Amino acid sequence: MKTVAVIFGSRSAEHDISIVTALSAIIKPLEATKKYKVESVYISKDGSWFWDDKLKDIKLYQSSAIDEFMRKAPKVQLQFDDGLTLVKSSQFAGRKAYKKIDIVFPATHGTHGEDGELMGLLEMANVPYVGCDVPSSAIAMDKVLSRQIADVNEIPVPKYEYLQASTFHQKGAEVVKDLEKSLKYPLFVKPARLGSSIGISHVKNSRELVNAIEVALHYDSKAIIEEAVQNLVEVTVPIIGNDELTYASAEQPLSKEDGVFDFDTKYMNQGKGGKKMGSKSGAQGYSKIPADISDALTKESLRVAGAVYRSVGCKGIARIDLLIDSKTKKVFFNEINPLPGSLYNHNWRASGISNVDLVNRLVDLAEDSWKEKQKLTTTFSTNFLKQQG
Amino acid sequence: MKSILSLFNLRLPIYYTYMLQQVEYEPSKFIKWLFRLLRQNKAVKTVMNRQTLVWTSKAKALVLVSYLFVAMSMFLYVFALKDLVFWPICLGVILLATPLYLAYFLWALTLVAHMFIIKPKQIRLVAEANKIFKNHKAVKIAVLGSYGKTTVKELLNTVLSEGKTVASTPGNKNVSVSHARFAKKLTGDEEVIVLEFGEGEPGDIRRMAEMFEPDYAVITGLAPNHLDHYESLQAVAKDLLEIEKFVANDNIYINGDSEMLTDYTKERFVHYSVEGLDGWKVNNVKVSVDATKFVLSKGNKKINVKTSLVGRHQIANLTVVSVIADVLGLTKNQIEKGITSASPFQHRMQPRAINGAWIIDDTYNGNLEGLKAGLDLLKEIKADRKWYVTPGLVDQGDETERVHVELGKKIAEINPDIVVLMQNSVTDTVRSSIEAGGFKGELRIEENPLEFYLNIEHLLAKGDLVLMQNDWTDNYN
Repeated sequence: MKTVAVIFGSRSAEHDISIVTALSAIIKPLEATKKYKVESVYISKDGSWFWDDKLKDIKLYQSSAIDEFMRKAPKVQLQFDDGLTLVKSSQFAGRKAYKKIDIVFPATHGTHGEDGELMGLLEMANVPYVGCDVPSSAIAMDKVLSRQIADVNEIPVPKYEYLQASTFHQKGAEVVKDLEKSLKYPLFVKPARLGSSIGISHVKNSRELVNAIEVALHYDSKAIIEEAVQNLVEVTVPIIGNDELTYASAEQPLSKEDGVFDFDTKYMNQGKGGKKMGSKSGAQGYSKIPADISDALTKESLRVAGAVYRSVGCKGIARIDLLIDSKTKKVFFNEINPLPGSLYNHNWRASGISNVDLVNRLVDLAEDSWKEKQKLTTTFSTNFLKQQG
Repeated sequence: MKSILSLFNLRLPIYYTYMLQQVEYEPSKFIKWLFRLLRQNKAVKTVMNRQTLVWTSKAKALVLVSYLFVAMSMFLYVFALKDLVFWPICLGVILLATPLYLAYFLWALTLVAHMFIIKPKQIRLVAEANKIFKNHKAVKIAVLGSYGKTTVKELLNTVLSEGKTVASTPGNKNVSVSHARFAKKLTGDEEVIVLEFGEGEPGDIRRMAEMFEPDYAVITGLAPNHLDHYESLQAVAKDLLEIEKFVANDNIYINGDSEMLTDYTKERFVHYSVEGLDGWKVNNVKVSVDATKFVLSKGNKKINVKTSLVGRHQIANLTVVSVIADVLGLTKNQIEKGITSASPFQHRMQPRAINGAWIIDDTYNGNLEGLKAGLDLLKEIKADRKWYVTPGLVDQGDETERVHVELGKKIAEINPDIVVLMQNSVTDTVRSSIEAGGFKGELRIEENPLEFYLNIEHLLAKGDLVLMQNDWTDNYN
């Protein structure tokens, strides 16, 4: 039986969402496959790593029990010796527990995880892992970079500018004037590298714009400012695959009246009008599956989503968010989520793929991708060193 | 060995009491369970995997008495053996036998309680009930058979209640004592009383009929159930047909779709089936995962049947209930309204939507005919992926092998995409029969039913249809 390590938590604003993704959407279904031994690896908010079966219980995180656990439990060390091995001290007689990992299933959202940092570590260990690789994760997490890639590949994006924190702090209001010259209100201001809609603002004038930039730069050192798409219909398309892609249904999130689809709308307020929908239902509570758009627009949405997935070089899984002008029927690329919350498994289920089938396929894709990489030559023999000195 | 060692557990009195509760304090079933556990070499604590002891006053008393019994016997042994040279060895041997003699102590205790307290009380209750039923002016309907009787009883109650004051036994309470307790609650104003007769051992039906004195009877089917108490299928049939000594032949409705039953009844009685009943014809049948529709007509009379009860086999049940309602004077509107208001009974062909998939919960179905009817429904309804989940059947006596070979054949014939068998003593028989039948789908053996049920949401997606039939209680696992 192969061992799969599910890594979650991390130093990220989306730390808590990552726990839910790992426990409910990955660990449970992986265990239900009966094909894998699942090890839970938790990265705390201060970046410490822990590995324990107790970490599979959501109740641990719902009270101060997690602090107590972290105070007592030994931290995990990683060993890169022909793959990845978790090492944990028994705290007695110098004995240590070792667990060789066959596949890693990253379940981290946002910074220090979904942004490619964790994938870099896994590449160094040369262990198969689920999802996007280092460059595609890094690009996907950066709304500016991903738009630039889309632009190059002639995929429509809303008109945008971006701003470094240092520039804003140096120039202040002058920057706002420059932005107003090139962009028209209403605008959206977002941290460039943060998911789950954290720090997003919808602004209609200079005063709001300054505030919104300050908010965005509170979370990230780079902010993106873009024109709002008119007659907006938001659509999101979950995709899995390496070379051959499988699409879930185009899904239509229902945003609040101000058009902002923020963290509270997604996870806390149970959706726009969804009294019946608990926060547990996550994305299911605030969206329509399939999206309420014409067949032609659905087809175009899937085409644009697939083009983005391929041009960024995504692997395994990602969710592509799109913006549609319902009058002009134009579909714009908005952003990529390399690891959608809870894998967006509600949409996959509605598209005929169960949680178990989904994680099974993702693990298979991870192994396929890793095998392909093993065929590549990564070293090169030269006389360079002999010629030195 | 593992099983024997597991008995040396301080919680043993709790496990024993739990199992007594599971077998409704029937002494012989309790001892059978213990030996089955030892034979299967399972740890005693696994019996409480799915449920835990319900701390009733009876359970509390039994646990307390068990602990006291063990403590006192230890004390007495030490006292009696202390002068012997080899007393520690003797005590050791006795200690090793403790789990066994505790089991027999509980067996004897429940047996004595049964004989001297419970039985006399039951006899008194039944005599009182007999008086109540005899003097009651209501039309009395008995529903009996190896399967489907709770459904028909509930349907009669729901439909007849549209035009009459009806009382019927609750849930699947179908033994004399339940009837007697039920009788004491009658107000005397009821116009119809419906009783479910459960056959458990020879003579049961006669005893119940003597007490109830029914005007009408519905025999829902015959199947090889309770063969641990009946010698053969013929003995079960004979017991069921005792009813004709108490009810006029024209008032006995027989399920003509049950071939095993009609083998014994031939042309006697009124036969009902999916085709109709005594001139009533069934037409325009439509079956889906959450509804059944058809038209029942005879001459000028026409009843449009629309129900959330699922399965083609429900047509016969709905037909007999509609006709009895008609005979008792209910109008077409009352019958139609009553049928529409009937909802699926818990764990009996109960459809449930989950993750866009459909699960038909038929886990209270415990007979071969019922399983076959369910499998036919699975075949009939369209789905992207079909699942069939079952542990097989219990209480099949000498028929166990034949029944499970037949079940396997039927599963192979229906050929679901995925078959999940809950691991137990009949699994190998069902699996061999499925494989021999040329089954082309995926066969999974599930060792932990509870884990499977808890994880089901992760296994299903839109387009899946799952049929779950029967569930073995802990004493059979």
